[in-house]
Amino acid sequence: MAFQEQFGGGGGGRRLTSEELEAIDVEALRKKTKDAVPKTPAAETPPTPEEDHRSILERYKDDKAKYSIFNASPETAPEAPTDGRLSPDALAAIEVRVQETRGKEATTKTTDAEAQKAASGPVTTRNAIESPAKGASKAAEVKNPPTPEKAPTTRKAAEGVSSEATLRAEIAQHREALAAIERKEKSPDLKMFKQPMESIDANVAAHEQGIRDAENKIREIAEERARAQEKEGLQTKIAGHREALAAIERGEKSPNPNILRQSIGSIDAEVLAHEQEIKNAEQRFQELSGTRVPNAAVAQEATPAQTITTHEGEGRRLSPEELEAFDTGAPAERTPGAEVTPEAFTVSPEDRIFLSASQERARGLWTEAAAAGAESAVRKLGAWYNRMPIWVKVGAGVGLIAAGMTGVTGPIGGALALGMLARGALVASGTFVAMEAMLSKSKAKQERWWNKHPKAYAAVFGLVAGTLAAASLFEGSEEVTAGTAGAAPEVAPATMHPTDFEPIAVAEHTLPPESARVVVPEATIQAEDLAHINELKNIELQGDIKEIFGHKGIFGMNPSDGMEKFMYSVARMDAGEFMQGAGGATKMLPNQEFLQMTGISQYQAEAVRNLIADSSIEYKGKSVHQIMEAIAEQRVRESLATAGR
Amino acid sequence: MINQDDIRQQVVDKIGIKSASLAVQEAVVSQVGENIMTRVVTAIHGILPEEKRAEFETLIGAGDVDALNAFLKPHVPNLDILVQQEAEKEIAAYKEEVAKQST
Repeated sequence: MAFQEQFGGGGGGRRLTSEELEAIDVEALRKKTKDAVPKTPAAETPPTPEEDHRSILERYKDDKAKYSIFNASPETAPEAPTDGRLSPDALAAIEVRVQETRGKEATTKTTDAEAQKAASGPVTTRNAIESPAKGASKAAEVKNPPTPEKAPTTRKAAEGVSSEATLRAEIAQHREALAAIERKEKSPDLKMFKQPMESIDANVAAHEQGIRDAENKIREIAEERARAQEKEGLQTKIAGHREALAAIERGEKSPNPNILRQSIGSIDAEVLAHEQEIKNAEQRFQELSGTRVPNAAVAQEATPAQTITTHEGEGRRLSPEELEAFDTGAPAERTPGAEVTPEAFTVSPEDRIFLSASQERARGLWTEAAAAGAESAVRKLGAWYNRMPIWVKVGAGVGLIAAGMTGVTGPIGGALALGMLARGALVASGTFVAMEAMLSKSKAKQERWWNKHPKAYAAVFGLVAGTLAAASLFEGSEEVTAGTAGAAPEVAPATMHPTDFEPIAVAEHTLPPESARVVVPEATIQAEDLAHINELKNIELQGDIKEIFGHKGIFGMNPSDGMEKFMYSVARMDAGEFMQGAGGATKMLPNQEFLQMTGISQYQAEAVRNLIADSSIEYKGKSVHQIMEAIAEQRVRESLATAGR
Repeated sequence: MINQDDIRQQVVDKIGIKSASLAVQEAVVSQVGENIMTRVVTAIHGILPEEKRAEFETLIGAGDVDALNAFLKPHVPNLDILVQQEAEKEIAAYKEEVAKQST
């Protein structure tokens, strides 16, 4: 109270300057205190200078109560040394701090020498608050850093690495120094009392700043650790999604066991979902690291199928090699049932039975064929069959199995078998050639499903499309040899128009009208076209479809018109649409050449013509694709009706 | 319009492998298709007169569909029905084999 009367202010008042501190009239204060305060035994004892000093520091403590350092939570506050000595970690932290702050000394703004020492870290503070002897000792410690054996963290410090533990130890030292100030450890006499308050403030501020710096570094370390963990999680996530995509593409079991029975749309949706997740994860990864995803690391976790992936962030596309994976090598000797072994798959017990049963049947049939003397013929059949890519074999298999399902494929089964017997599993080459062309187109349009599931496409669309084309060709081929000499078409090609063609009436099982037979104007048969035809004859049909249909201007078609238009034209040939607009002349297109080119037999063409005749398909104005779908739908409906479903 | 995948689904359902993975479905369909063809060849071989069998073997894989058709027509007038019958038999035999192995 006396002190407040003399200099004013309370617990939260201004600080005393060194001059004011020195100007304190202790005796007057004592006297006033005696007068104002009831006399107690303790009060009668004159306060020592140290006690006065304490009272000042008590106020100082009150002022400092607002500082965060004094409000540190018990969880983060390290245990204060009990023996007054520093732990090895603390010493290491001090040395780290010293090394770090040495470089900063030039920028230190404090003017007081003591404050400068304090600002340079706990060591200087410790030196300041300890006896000169102790300070010298500690200074010697700093000059002679602990050996690595004694302080492993020092080694880290030398490498520029400040661990979180080191930083926490550093904080502990700062707090210890601050606590020491509070405890007045450094002022056993009035020397300390006479230390300028600005110096003490600077000292405390330096410690607080050191604590804040260390806390910030700890926070940065924690954030970096969190980023690393998130990045690791993202890599795992990306790898998982890529594996899921690869599994879908391989057709193996996916995380969703029902995926194989899902619709195309849902498969696409799942693929897209995986791809989106990968994209999101990669973006986040880049945000975290500022670098690209380490593909090499991810690739290590990828399956072989993933290595085919060529479009980052997109689903896997079939390579041209895969699309054109015809094996044109020499026929292989057939070993029935040896092509696919159950062990080659990672399958469920049920799947293993499915596979095993099919191969057991193959062995049984082989035995039967051998017993019947048909071993040689069956061996020859299998020689080229086994060389076919899987999607061709699956397509053939679907067609043949469907042949056993009344009403589904009708005459196609026979055509398919005949084609297989004569030409191999390519069946009527045109079937799969057309299908592959469609696939190529699909690939160009980046239609995901067709690229990933060409087998189903081959089995259904290609099967029908090729044979439908054969039917159209067959219709034309009837007239090939007739030419046009003296046999003018009933309807002049120039007057034909797609809308003139009457659709086939199912009830009457009528064939396309005679008037619809293809009549190609002589003038339109360009030498170039004929050259193309002759050239195409020499092309191996099992080869590159693009080589076949990539000929510029073939049959008046612009290649850019696309395969669908080409197929449409072929399908509508019997309507006179093919080569439409040439007008006038009467020479027929050499359709026999066309048949040879596509490898479609008259038998197959006839079969498809019957198929069309048996159908109620209105294909006027429709694309080949639409016609195929319509026929397929009709056949399936008939099949379902037959089965009573 | 139906989905073009439906026919495949019908086929897969027909031979009872709907629950199999796609890879296994493909392998089985391929193998069953080959088995059907084996049956067809064996059946045709049995139908043909003995002196014609060598020619039949020559035509297999020769690439001339029309020649093969012309060759077979007198002996196998309705190849469609033959294929259908052999397909039906093989499908039934396959399902029987699956049932046998499942027990």
